[in-house]
Order: sequence, then C-alpha cells, then structure tokens
Amino acid sequence: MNSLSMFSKSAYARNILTYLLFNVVTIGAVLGYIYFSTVEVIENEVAEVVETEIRALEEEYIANGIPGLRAALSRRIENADGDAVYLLSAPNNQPIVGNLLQWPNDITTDGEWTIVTLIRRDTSQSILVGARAYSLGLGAKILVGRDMRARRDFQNTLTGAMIGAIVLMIILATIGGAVFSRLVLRRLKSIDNTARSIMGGDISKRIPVTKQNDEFDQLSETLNEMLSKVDDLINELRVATESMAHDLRSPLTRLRGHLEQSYLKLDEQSSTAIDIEKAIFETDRILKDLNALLNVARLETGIVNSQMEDVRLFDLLNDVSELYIPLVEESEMTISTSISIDQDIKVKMNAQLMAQALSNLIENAIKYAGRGADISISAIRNKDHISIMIADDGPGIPSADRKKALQRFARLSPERKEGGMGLGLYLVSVILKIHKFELSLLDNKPGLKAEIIIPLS
Amino acid sequence: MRVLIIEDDHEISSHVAKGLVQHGHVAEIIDNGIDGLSDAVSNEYDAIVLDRMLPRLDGISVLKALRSEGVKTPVIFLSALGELDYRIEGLKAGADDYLSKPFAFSELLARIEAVLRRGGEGTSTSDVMKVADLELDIRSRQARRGDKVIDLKPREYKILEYLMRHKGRIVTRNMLLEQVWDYHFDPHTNVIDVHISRLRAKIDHDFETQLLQTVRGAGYKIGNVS
Repeated sequence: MNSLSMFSKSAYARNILTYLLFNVVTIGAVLGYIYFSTVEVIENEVAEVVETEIRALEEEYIANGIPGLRAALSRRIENADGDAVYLLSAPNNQPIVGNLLQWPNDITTDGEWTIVTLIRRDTSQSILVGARAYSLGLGAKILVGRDMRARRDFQNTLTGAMIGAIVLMIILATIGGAVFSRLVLRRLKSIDNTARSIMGGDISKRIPVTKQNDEFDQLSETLNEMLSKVDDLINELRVATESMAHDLRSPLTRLRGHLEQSYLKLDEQSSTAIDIEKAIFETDRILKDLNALLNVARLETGIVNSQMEDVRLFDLLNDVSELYIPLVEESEMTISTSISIDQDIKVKMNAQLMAQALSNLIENAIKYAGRGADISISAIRNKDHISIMIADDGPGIPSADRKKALQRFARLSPERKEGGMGLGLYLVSVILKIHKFELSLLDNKPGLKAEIIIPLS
Repeated sequence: MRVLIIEDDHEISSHVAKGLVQHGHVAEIIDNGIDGLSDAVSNEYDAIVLDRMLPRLDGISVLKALRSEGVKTPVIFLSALGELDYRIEGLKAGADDYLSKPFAFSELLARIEAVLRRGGEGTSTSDVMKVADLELDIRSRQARRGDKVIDLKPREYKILEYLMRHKGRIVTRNMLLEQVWDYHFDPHTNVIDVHISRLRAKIDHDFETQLLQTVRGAGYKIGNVS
C-alpha cells in the first residue's frame, strides 16, 4: 500500500469526524436553545395565567369574603376546562371547596410557582400540577394551578423530535462529510498521481485542471508551471550535454586521425608506437562513450519505432549468447544458457536494439562478476509473459544502489567504477522502455540478476 | 584507385584524402552535393565516399540521382547520425556500405577496399576458395589445410568465409560484427578478438605459415605474409 492511500484513509476519517463534530456542536446548540426557550416560555405563560387568576380571586375575597370566594371558585370549577385545579382550604388544611382531594404538604403559601403532585377529587388521579398558593386572612389558604401533563406531553414530543433531528443530522453530516472529504481527496489524489508518474520518469505529465477555477485549480496551475520550469531546465541540461558530446566528437575524431597517421609511420614494435596505440585506444573509448550518449539521446526522442519487426526470440538469445561464449571462457568464467521457450515464438521488436541491450547486460556481467564467476542466460515462458534472465554470481549491486544503476551517468560503489560514463545499464533501460518491456535488477544471491519481462499480448 | 570524397567538413575530407594518398590512391574532394553529383556522373571513379548532410543537395538525393543515372560506382555513405534508421535509409538508396562518424581511417579504407572487391569478385564461379594451402569449400561448408580437415563451428565458418572472400585485404572488427553477426552496434569488449583467436588456433596452430594475421590498429587479414 502506498503512502497516499494510508494518508487518505486517515485524513478521510479525520475529515468526516471534524465535520460531524462541528455539526453536532452547532445543531446541538441551536436545538438546545429552541428546547429551553419553548418549554420555558410555555411554563412562564401558564404561571402568568395562574397569577392573574389568583389576583382576580383575591379581589373577590377582599370584596365578598370567604362566601364570595367559594361561589367564585365553584363557578370556575364548573366552567373550567380539565386543566385547571383549585383548592380553598381551612387553616387545618381541611378542603373547603375545590377539585383537589387534599392540600399538598410541599407547597409554600408565598405565591411561588411550584410543581407538585396532587390528586384530583373527580378522577382520584395523581397529576402533576404547576401551582401557586397564598394565605388569606384568618389562616385560610388558596391554591390555583394548572395540570402540567399537556406541557409534559409537549416536552416529550419536542424531545423526541430533537433526538430524531440529531440522529438524522448525524447521518446527514456523516454522508456530507464523506462526500466533501472524497471531493477534496480526489483532487489531492490527482495531484499525487501526477507526482508519482513524474517520479516514474514521465516528466511530461501535468496535473489536470478543472473548469471550476477553485483553489485546487490554482494550486494545480502553480504546480504545473513549476513542473514546466523544471522540465525546461532538464531539457536545457540534456541539450547542453548532448551538444557538448556532439561537438567533442569532431575534434576527437581529428585527434584520432592524427594519432593514426603517426602510428602508421612508426615501427609497430617501437615504444612510441605502443604509446600511440594506447592513446588511440583511450580516444576510441571516449568516442564510444560519446556515441553511446548520443544514441541514448536519439532513442529517447523515439525515432526508432519504424524499425519494429517480428523477431524469433529464441534465435536472438542464442546468437547473442554465442557471441560472448568464447570471451566468457577466455575471461576464466563459465557461461550456461537455458533458453526454454518455443523456437517459433516471435516478438515485435527492433532486433538490433534488443541485441545491443542483451549484449550490454552480458558485458556488464563479464565486467563486474570477476574471475571464476558463472554467468547464466535463461529464458522461460510464463502464462502471460516471457522472462529473460541474465545473471552472474559476482559481487552484485547492493539493493539500495540498484535503482540508481539504471539511471543516466550512474555512479555506483568504488568496486564498479571501471571505465565508461555509466551509460551501459541506462541504455538498456531506455531500449527496453521503447519496447515497453520491463527491466528489473534483482539479487541473484549472490550476484546480480537482470530480468527482462516481455508481455505476451 | 581513384576515390571521390563528397564531404563539406574540410577537416574530415582532407584527413581521408591524405590517408588515401599515403596508401597510394588518388583522392578528389568536393564540398557540396550539386558539384559532387555532376563530378561523379562525368568522371570515372573506383569508389565514392559520400556524406549524408551536404550543402545544396543532401547525400541521399545525390545517391538516388547517381543510381538513376546508371552510375554503379561503389558508394560508402558517411553520417554523423549513427542511428540504424539512417543506415537502412542509406543502403536502400543504393549505398554499398555505411559508416558513421566518427570513424577510424583504417575502418574507412578497409570498407572502401571491401566494396571494390565486391564489385570484382562476383564473377568467380569456383566453389572452393583458396589461400595458400587453406581451402574452403562453400558448397560443402568444409575447410581443410593441406590434408588436414578442419572442423569449424557455423560461426567460425562464416568468419573464415568472409575473411577469405577479402583475402589480402584488411577486415575490421566492426565489419566482421556487421557481416557475420549482423550486429550494428559497438561492443565495449574485445569479443571479436576472442572469436578470431579461436579460429586462428584451428587453422594456424599446427602450421608453420601463419595465414590469419592481426593488423595492428586496424583489424585482421588472411593471406600469405608478404
């Protein structure tokens, strides 16, 4: 699993959670406000009504005394809807008139709004009542209240509705968070994908820009501009390297020509001739490297596609191996070949380039495996691909360096510094890339194993 | 022999001309395509060294024009572009050989001599090629030296055949790689030398006269030591 999918998983969850938390807090606060203000307002209104009623009854008492109050109360009880409760009691708590069974113990007579449980006389039912009680003159007491069951019902309905709202909100917020997260991460993912393609060698890749012209698009455009700048710099460097290689070839050819002319005039055995021969050899090596560099450059521009043809892989492998058998044996190494693929299998390729790639890999093995080494060349056919392996049992390349070995101008450990500009394996990888074949350098335990995978379409 | 060099790089043309003269040949230099073409049509040359990139008329066009005029003079195509596509393009247009710059003069000389031989050799009807007491029967693919039959591997046979077809002439390592293996790239090892030394062990080992010689700085040659 790559790092982004891990990152995206955690960021994904984190985004959803943050979104959810934010929503819970906001909506919770709003609902809480609605709940308390609604319930409070209703209760206050009831308390107001009761207060007004008590005032009216008090006035009645002041005007007409207990008998007037009794008559008024009886009238009210008769006309009242089911919610209203009244009780006028004697100083010894003996009810005088009212629809309650008895005077409650836990109510004070200072007019404070109190919630108490009372028993109605008509239904003998215990009910929750919001009430105020006052002392009248001569120790009589009056209580006026409202049955609070309706309020309780409303409160319950409201609570139920709010719980429902919160559950719904959590579901919606989770979905919303997921969708939102996915949208954001999808944009990030497309940036990440592009970056990965570029790291994989496709420097021409750019981040897709949508028409929305949002912050992501602006970021993408900035990054794309940066990539173009980097691309330009790489190209400049490449062109500079190549034109340098190109320009160096003419003077080197002339130098070689002069050396050759002098050499031909000398006695082959003279020490000057031997020195000049060495100079010619060195010049040739530089020229070969420059040629390799220019060849790679030409291959990278992709002008060889016209030369693809059906080639018998079996013959190609045998021919290249056979070219190197005597050299390997002279170098005090052994070579074994096992080409176990059908002789008639044909693969579309540029035979010259593939021969060159195989030859480079074999020469590489000869160069670095050392005396006594065994070089093996093998090919097997798997279900959907052919695998070609060129392996040695020499010192190999440490796994950390293997990726580097396939790069241009690769410079590896001091043991592998012998000659050249480090283009050998790079050339191989460029050739294989043109063919869309895969190259990997593996551990042969001991030694290096280069594996070429040819997909069979 | 007379060689026409059509090349706009004066350093290269004079270097090639100087080398040819040193080896006893006559060289003519022309630095553009138009004049080169008219000179090649109106004069008799043994070989033409033709650059690919030329002012006024490019090498491929010169070559095509020459061939359509019926001029059969062997042409060695030169190019700074060593790419395979160009080699094939040059050969298709009628070139006899192709050499990419930079090249060693000895390589060019060997190739000029090889294309000359190719022109003259075609008339030989004999199935047996001979160099001193070494015989190669191209029908039975058998080699013998004196009364000793030499057992050759297929590739060794091909090398020997190529050397014997060019007996007395220098054959370079690259020519062998191209003609015997059909590989047009430069190996970074002395892979050809080892094949030659194995062949030499077979044909020269038990004999006093060494027929397969190494020409220092150039390549190999089969023939009597002169």
